[in-house]
Amino acid sequence: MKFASVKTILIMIAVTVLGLYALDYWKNPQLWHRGVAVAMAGSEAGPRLTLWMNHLCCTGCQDDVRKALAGAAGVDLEKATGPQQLLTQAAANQEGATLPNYGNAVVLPITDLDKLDVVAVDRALRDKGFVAGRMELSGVPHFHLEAALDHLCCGMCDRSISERMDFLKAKGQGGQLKWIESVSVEHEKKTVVAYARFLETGKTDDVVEFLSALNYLGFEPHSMRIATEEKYQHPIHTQEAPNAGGGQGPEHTH
Amino acid sequence: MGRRLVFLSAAMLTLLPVVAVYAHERFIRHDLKVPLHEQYFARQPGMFLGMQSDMLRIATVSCVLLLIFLVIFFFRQNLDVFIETRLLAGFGGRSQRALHHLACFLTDKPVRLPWFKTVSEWAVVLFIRSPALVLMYSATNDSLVMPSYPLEPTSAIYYKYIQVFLAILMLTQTALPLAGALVVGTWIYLWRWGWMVAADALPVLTVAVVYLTSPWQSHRVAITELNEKQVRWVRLVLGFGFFALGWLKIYNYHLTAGVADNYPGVMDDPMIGFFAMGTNPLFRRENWIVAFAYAEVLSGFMLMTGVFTRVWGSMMIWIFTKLMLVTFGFEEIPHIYPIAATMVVVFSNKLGSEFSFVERSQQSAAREGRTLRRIVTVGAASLAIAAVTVYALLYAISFIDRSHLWQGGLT
Repeated sequence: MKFASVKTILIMIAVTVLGLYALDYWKNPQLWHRGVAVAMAGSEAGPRLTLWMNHLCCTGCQDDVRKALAGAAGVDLEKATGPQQLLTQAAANQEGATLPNYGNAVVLPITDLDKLDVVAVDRALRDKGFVAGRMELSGVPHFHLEAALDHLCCGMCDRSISERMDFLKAKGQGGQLKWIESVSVEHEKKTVVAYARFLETGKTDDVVEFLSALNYLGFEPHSMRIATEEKYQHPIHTQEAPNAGGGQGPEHTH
Repeated sequence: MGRRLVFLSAAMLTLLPVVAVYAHERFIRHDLKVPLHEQYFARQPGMFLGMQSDMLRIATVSCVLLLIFLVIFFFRQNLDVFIETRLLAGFGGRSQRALHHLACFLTDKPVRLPWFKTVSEWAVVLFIRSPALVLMYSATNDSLVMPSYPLEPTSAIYYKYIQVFLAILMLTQTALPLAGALVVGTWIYLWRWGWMVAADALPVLTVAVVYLTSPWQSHRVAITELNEKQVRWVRLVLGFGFFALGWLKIYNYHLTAGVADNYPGVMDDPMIGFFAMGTNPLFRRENWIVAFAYAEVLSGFMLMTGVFTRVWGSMMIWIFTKLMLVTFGFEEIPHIYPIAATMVVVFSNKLGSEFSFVERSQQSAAREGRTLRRIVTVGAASLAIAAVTVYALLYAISFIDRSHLWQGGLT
């Protein structure tokens, strides 16, 4: 009986490892160059909202996405860039048509931050049958997100957001919500405010994470705006009056 | 296998971190539903060894249990003589033979029974082929090796075909050294997704040991028995895998708690309850995590070092079977593989121990009539082994802040 020598075994293992890595590198370039892509997207001047769609493969998809975003306020659809490596609808229909990834990104220059409503963009896409996997904001060094809710009836509602948001941040080892410095609940205005950390040039913050976090906590905001004006970050100085009547004032969490 | 990132983006969308990590937990839902008392697992100034008292209590129970098992094991020859000459002397015929076989089974000695040998042969056949079932199951679920490592759609088809190719080698027992190299290579590739993923997949290396040491013409021979070296390596790798997974349960405690949140029934296990006896019920989930981890650490350690291999192996088979058939159901079907691996060890008549030198030293002292030296040798060795095994890593881990670890723990 012939057995494999140690040298042969080591060679076979090495070939297997190299083969698997090579296959991964060849077929999944998007996983190996994510950082570069994000940096390139973010290096362009001005505030931008990059919509990463997990499905956006051909010109047919692109047309529908553009139609969906036609009414979106605060963004310049004419100057939108991407998606890259798009097939024509006819080419995509052909048997054997392939792309390195079914997903793609649309980069929207933001013309008016005050008018941009993230929830409206999300709904517009969903109404056309699309979902933005990520909405990455870039080019805005200091901002906070203001999520307006229809329901925020009691102190328990307030606390469930502020307390459980900490919990979600702690669980986000993949980096989710780490960009949020603190969350404040403004009961009277039925608004949840997420203060973002300083956003460096070339970096992005995925605002969908905050939207999903609120959904996970059981709340559906009817709008989410990106604000840049200075706003109190430590509401402890301002909460005396509203909070006096049963703890329904602004809650703050770090 | 950008598969993990697919998973990550899905988790990002929902913020229900449903990723992956750890032995059987990998195959099932493990999203945390209620926050844990994070301070329980953190350093606690002023406490003995700087650790939470309930955690130390569970560790001490484990240490005492291990100590008792080690002492009994090191005196097993003397116990055997006592059982054979004193206890069984009064019995005759069948009863005596049955009890003799039972004693041999419990003390890791060869069991000379035809049915035992048949089961042993069948276990080897199952062990060599069962990884193929797991691979096929993973391939049909668009994942690599384990159903919880989802494949990236752009490359899934290639990895699925590779798995099917490997499964064919295994099922037909063809070129097993190549199959072994592919298994080891795939395991090394898993390091791309982090050390915890690789640690989680450690048990898959067990079968690679057998494949790599099989002949190239493996398809021509009936492999129904493993030699002493193969059994030793299977025992070492399998035992170390579970030993490591036990510690990972404490290291990434969110994941372990997530399993209990989804399957509360697992918290009612009497064996784990034994480890957690006397602890504060306020920390029920936290205590369960540590007790569960220690149950696995001790099982893995005993298996790895060859101390009452069959006793602990049998318990593991029972637990895995229960998890697969009762607690978690079909999602745990890949556990056919560790069950088969453990069966190979339990039904082998070529078991050895990594601590046989303690036994030999004790027996040498017995022949010289040095009773005190025997007791001191066994007592000191058992105490040192038990203390280092149970406390050393727990103490070291307590210095690491794991509160930020995601339940997936894959990054």
